[in-house]
Amino acid sequence: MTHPHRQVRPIFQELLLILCALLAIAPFAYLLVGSVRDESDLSFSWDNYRRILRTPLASWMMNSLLLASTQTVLVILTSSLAGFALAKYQFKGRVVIAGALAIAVLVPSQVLFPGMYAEVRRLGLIDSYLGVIAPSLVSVFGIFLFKASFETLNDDVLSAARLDGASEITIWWCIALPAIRPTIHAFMLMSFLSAWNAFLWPQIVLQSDSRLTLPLGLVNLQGISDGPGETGRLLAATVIGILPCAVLFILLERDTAAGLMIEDGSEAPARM
Amino acid sequence: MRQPSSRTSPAPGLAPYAFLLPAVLLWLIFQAYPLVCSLYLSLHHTAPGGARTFVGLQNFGFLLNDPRFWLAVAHTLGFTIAYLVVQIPCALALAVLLNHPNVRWASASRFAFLSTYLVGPVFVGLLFAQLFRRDGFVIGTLASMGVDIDPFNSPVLALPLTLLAALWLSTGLATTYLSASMRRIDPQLYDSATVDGAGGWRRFWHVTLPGVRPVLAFLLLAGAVVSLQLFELPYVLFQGAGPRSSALTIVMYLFIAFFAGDVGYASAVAWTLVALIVVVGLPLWKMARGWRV
Repeated sequence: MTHPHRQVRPIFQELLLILCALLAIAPFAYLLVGSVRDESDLSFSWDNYRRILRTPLASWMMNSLLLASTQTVLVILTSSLAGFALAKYQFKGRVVIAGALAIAVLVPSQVLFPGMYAEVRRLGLIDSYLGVIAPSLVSVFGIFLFKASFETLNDDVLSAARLDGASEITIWWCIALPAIRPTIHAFMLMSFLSAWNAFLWPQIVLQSDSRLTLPLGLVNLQGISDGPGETGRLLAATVIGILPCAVLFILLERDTAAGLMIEDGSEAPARM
Repeated sequence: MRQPSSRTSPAPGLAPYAFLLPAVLLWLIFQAYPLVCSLYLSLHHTAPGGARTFVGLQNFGFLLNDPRFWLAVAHTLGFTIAYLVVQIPCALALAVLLNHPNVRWASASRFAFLSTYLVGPVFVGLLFAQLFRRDGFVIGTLASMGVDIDPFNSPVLALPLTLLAALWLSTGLATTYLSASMRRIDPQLYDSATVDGAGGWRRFWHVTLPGVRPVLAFLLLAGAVVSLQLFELPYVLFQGAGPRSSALTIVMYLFIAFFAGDVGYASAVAWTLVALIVVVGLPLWKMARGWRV
């Protein structure tokens, strides 16, 4: 219990907590150990990684990195611009636009897929990266996250910059955005993770083997290599698949925690 | 000649519209239009080539009479209920433990819990498929203890295994949200509860729980919406619908129709899913709003 008075060391609670934390990371331990172990004699070996690199894994990885980072950068730009407009300007149509977007948050993306597929096909974007990222270049959730975050900024700072002759776009880029860095980082991590882990939509759009993203490639690989003796290879591939997310998480960890706090500041989540 | 702008805001006039333009355009083209398009398609029979004929509500009629669809609905609803019933209390308990005063290892544990959130459903599926395979670590250990099970060949165990993987993936993030929310509860509330003679359990019911209600409501609603769309985890775990279709979910059913080339039928499934999400989500949302009074 969150209560400061008890001074006795809570041994039972501590053990329980550590046990749960160990359970949470146990699959990671299995994953790491299994990926560097020779399956016949259980000795240490990089063989699984060497073998996995003989598959098109490296090119799937590059495809995924390219797609996920492009999508992340663009969705941050579009969502933060829109969020800034809704948070810091009074203009005709503001309430209507905000209301329409708020309803849109509730629509699950699966519903859009059949219609999106028809549209993307008509635009000739099947089997293209543009087709994969186009539907995710704006995030309604992101717009509201940025809006909530920009609302905490002091208007006087923005007006002062305006008096100094700064253009509106300069105010957004040079003053407003740097002031909400934790939110940007938290949203960056969320967007990157969802782009990196995307499966259903890329599976629908992409067709040629050379363009597959990492999750699609790995699921194909799992399908053709599901015999005994393949565990190590799949585990090595999974490690490589998680690595970029882990790196980004470690880089952004402190800010992400702060960003999550803003997001979870009583009002924000209920609005989603 | 008059200066066109006032002193405080030199004509931000068009700026907000320009800022909103990219987002609103992209939203109209790639979200609003496909939504309407899906509705239109759901009233049509579509051949793999693209030819379509208007069939009215026939797709929905067929859907509601297909036992496989109801199987998918049963699996998805069952999963959603089990997921929420297990995840929320576990996350609450872990958050309470994390915020327990004098507990060591709290920040290391917090990091451990959040780390599972990094692993996407596809990778969790790949990992758990290896972890629980017949000759793998967990099942092998159980077998040496005399328990002989194989979740990949037993229809009864397919969804529980999916649930286990989903809980591993998401309970940490829920814990992180709840724990952050608990830390913002005014400590004085606990002090006065203690003065009033409230024990640990009563402080939890009357101080902690009301304090985290907004986050709890969010987790319930988001958890329900996400798990009603369950797809990747079972699809990757079982490389399909599982033994005797025991892991067939609504989105998987949609996906199968879609890849069979029947975009119209897939749209009908999609809109039925929306209806289901509204039916399940609305009471949860109302309940959550009621809590905030």
